[in-house]
Amino acid sequence: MEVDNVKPSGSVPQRNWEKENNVQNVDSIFEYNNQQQQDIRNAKPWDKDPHYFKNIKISAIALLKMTMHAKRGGNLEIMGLLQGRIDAHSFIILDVFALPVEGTETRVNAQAQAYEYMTVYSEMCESEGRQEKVVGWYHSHPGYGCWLSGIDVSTQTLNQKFQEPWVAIVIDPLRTMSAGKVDIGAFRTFPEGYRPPDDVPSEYQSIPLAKIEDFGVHCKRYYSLDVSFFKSQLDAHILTALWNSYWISTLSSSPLFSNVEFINNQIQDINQKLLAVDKKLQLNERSNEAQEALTKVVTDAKAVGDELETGRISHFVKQMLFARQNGGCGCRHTLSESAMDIAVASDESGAEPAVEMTED
Amino acid sequence: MSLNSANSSCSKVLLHPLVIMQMSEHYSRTKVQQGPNVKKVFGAILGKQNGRQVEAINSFVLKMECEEMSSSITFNIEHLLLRSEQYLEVFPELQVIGLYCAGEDDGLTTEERVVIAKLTTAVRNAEKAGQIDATLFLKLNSITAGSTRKLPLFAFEGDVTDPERYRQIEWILVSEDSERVGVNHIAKLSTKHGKEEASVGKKHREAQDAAMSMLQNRVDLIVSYLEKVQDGTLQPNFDILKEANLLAQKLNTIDRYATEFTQCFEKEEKTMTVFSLMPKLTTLLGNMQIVSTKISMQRADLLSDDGFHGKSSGSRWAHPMRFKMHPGRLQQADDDEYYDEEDMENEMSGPRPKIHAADSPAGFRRRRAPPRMMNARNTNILAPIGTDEMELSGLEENVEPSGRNYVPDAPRPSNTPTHESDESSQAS
Repeated sequence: MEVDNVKPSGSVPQRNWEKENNVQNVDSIFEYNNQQQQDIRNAKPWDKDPHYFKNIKISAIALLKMTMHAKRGGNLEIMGLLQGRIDAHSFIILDVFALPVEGTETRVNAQAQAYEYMTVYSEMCESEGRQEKVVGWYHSHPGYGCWLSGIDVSTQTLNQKFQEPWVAIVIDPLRTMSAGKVDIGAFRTFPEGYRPPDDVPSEYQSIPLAKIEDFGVHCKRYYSLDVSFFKSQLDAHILTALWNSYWISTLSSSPLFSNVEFINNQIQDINQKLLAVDKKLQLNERSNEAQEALTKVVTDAKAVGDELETGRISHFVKQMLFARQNGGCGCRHTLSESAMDIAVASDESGAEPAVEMTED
Repeated sequence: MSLNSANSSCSKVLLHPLVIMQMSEHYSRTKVQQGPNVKKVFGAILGKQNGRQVEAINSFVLKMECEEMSSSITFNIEHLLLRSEQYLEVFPELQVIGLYCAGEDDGLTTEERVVIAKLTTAVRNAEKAGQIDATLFLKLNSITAGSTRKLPLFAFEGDVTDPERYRQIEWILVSEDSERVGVNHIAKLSTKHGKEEASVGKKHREAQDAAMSMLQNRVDLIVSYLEKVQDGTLQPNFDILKEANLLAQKLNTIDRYATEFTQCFEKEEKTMTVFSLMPKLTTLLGNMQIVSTKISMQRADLLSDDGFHGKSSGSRWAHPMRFKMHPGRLQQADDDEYYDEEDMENEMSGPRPKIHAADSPAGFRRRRAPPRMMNARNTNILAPIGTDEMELSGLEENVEPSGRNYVPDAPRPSNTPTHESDESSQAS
């Protein structure tokens, strides 16, 4: 890349980025001990404790592949399988591969064709020297958040019976794009008949009205694992280098344009939810249920507000950087100075509403 | 890239981060699992070709084996074809376009040349693999990675006519939005339930800020170069000067379209303001709901409190009552209205039961202004004709001032959804 000749002191973003980057480059995570894995599989410690698995660690490459595959599916649900191993109470996902299955709505299920594909694929992996076994599956929920639907729960339960250890990952490509961070969740179902203890309610996530019933019915039948990510030493170097070319797209892309459809859908969903609240209030003015529902709608609305605000910031930045009405671009120095001004200006213009949103 | 592009008039290869990451992962994993004597790993690159433009998007690992005769490394052709068919099933637009090697040196060795040649023939002979003109070869040097800011990745392109000739070409990093988000996410190593989670807006502003300082760095670099050339400290490089001039020309173009841009910008800005009204309105609605809930809870508290006082103070009910009137005013007003609707409008004898109730201390505790009630009864006695009207008007007087302060128990959002539907219809 062309950036190597820039003086290192000038890379403010690089340092910002590293500051947050509590690096744990653990190459040892790639180790695979076949004997040990067999032993774990034979011992089946997960049979005794329905909460046996607590964490899931996903490799950089696996996350990248899943994100891209899910995005590629657009509004269709896609699915694939996870390759990895078990380490105490954690799943470690090293790689994933896509399956030639596309579903619609909440109806992803792997059929015979996919099963055959999977068998061939994993056999070939072994011959390549990749030892990791298939330990789960992933699929996408475009636009409606990470949770398990009724069908997902039964698929997962079935697999946990016959294919243990098995984990389900759900990824939402649309929310990923709108929030600028990967929206992902990993789940395990409880065995049939098991009643989970009343644990802390999971963090609120916005679920469209059309899906909320499906979510509510099954949400007690599974629990989510803590998701974390890892990368190798070499990955870290490469990511560093990749970062250097990202500022161009940060400046040139606008979250408003890339997420038009998603934001529209969300506004529509909020509208529908408000109508539902209105209906409840008409029946009973003091119903608690309606109040809770309204609070949730407000959370959703704030999220949309935040997204709009980010779009606005990009807009202003672009306008101030590249559209100076009075011309006067003869000297490039003015441009560089104005970039500074804008850094300040955008902070001011963006700060007020954004803070208001987050503090509430 | 723009600075040294002068030497390459021909094609550049577009590279997705996924490919680079896969090379890196493949190398690190093999190294850890099979020991340090692994020197290089091979895989096939999937991508598409559009005219002269080659885009590398995905990749897969090749099954390597030793050739019995020459003991040189080679790959399994059946495996390659089967895998590429499998990928074709999921990603129909991708075809095998080349070979990658993650190793420990920069160049193209003879060993690798053999492998590429074999891959090229294999792909050309395959039916499903599609047509490619030239094979791409990517080489990642894992040793020097991290020691410089530059990524030690090199691209070579095979010559169409002469399979023995390869020349180094330039590569450009391209990425889809989803890829960018993914890379960003891993780079920052954030956990889903991590504590850091700054607000979306803050993160975005930081990203913008970072990007702007990057731009500034680059502009500064150009400017300082030009200054040095002017001073005579540096020899002028005409290629660089040309590029810089080109940039300046482009800035003129921006100015030419400035008015058009500003108009569009203002329009969009207005639309966006309308849009952002929606979350604000909804938030307002929620806040009103919370306020009203709190108020009704407070009222419930106050009412039970009154009852307790009334009972304990026995016959001297009037004093605690007056005392309590002011803090409880709002809530009681609401209560009054409730009574008005229920009792007065439905029954003609409405006010009567109230007055009777007011005779007992318990009943008075529920009424807002007992003295006035008494007055009302007195006037009744004096002028028996106007009974109901007088009492009605008296009560109405009571209700009216409080009606101004009246806060509804529950907001009626019937108006707001219509606003929203307006907006969403605009949006769609």
